[in-house]
Amino acid sequence: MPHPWRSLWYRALGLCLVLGLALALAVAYFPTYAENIGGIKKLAPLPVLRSLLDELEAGGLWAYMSGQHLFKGCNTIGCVAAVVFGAFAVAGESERRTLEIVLARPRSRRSVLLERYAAGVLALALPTFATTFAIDPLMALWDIPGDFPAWLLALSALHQSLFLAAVFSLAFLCSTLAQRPGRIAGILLALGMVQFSLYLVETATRWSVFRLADVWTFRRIEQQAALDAPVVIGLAAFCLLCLIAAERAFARRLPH
Amino acid sequence: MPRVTPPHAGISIRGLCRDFGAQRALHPLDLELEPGAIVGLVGPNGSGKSTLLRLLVGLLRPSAGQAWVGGAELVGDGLAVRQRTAFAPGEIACYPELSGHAHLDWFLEGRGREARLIGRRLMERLGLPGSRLLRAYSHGMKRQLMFAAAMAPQVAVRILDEPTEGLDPTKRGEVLSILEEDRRAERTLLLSSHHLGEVDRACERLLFLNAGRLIADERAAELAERSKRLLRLSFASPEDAQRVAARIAGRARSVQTRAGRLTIELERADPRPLLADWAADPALPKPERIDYGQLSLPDLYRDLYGVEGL
Repeated sequence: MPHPWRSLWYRALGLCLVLGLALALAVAYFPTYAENIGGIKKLAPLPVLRSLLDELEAGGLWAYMSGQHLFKGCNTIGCVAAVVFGAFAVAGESERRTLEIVLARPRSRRSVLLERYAAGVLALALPTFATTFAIDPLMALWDIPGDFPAWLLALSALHQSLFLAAVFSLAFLCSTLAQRPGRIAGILLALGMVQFSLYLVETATRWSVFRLADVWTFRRIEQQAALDAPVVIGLAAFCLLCLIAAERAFARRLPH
Repeated sequence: MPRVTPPHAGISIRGLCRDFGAQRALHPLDLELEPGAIVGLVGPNGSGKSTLLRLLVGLLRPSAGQAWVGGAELVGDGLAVRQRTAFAPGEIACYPELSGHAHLDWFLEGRGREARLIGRRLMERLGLPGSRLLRAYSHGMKRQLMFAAAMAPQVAVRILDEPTEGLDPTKRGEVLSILEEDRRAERTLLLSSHHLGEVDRACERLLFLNAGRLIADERAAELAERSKRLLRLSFASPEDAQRVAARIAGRARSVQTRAGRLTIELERADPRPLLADWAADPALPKPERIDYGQLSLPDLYRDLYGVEGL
């Protein structure tokens, strides 16, 4: 798509619909979950999953909603979207041979790159915020009592958006360095699956990046009424480093 | 290092070269193209034409050397250069999901409303359906769209890579007419082609590249004049051609032999004195064929510079 801002809306809308649908199903499932939590815990095959279910039970409604929507929905669907958006941002143009006309226009490479980066991050952040703020209305729709304060929804959505921005930034950097977006996306998605597998192994969980946006993270945000500063600063720094490296790589990028 | 004042608003190149790994795509080049010049860049595929053009719009960074385009120094990513230059890439790659008009507008982003209006007028003149999606455009139509986009902005320099490639003779003529009209605006126009017959119609000066080197820089009129002084003799064997070449060396401006073919560039446009002198010597072999006054510019380049593929 030649217009990053125009394509932003299509991508954001698409992601919003998929995340929204997953959230709606999760909300609708809540009464069944609440009734059967004991049985579900007995079925959990891994210690990590059992401790996760313990945390969900102890954390109540917020732990369930943040676990279903942010940890499960956004970390799977959102990460796939982040990888695909990032991988195609520059390498996609290269593959379809349109990078030359993108670069031949009277615009600096930096502005071209920043525009694409900003559009990609917004295409992830807007659906994350929109769907997170849709939790309350969806709960009301299914007659689930309770609501969440706006600050909790906002801080959690911001944290999750930063996590997705970090994934996007890595894919974006790879996209400025390589030619084949499909290969970039494939490698990064495989890496993501390895990371998720690590998360499910009790002794290796700490090596998984998904620890940075899991149920415990969103419970801490609720309990402390603040962002998890070290994690947020770390994620923001990672995004910035990737962007700087991408800018340097793009400055030397050949049209083909 | 102090900045050098640009010599003029055309194109000025000093020692510009480009390597791709260990391979030198463009050898150090010095060139002056004054404002108002229409210059053809000619050479076979892989001769370095597109590399030079991409260097001049900042799509590639030079390995060494410097250039000024439209008065702007070619440094960094060449933004200042691209603001003063319109470029039509040689490779056709478009967004099939956009209409012709939308693609033109996107290409002319930052060029102003006037450029878009001129671009649309050019599209109409070339018979391009602006509302149709580019996926329905033929190769030639896409080429013309790129050409219209490059001809629309009122800039100091236009750089066009193979603007007539893939066009039928009628459209090619129209494109050359538009180029002819554009020359009145005192802007520098550099266009490449690997078809010499096309650029020699539109250009007043021809630069000839081969294997990344500039091997000839000639006025088109002088070149046409030279072609009229070319005499080509075809012999049965290379030895015969060599014998005749040895005999007439020094009596012609240049003598080239390739296989059994002898190409002579005469001092003046009358071959009769040389032919009469040669015919008077019965020991010299007789040619199987004599070509005179019919040699095209591609023939001239092939025979004088030994480059095929034009």
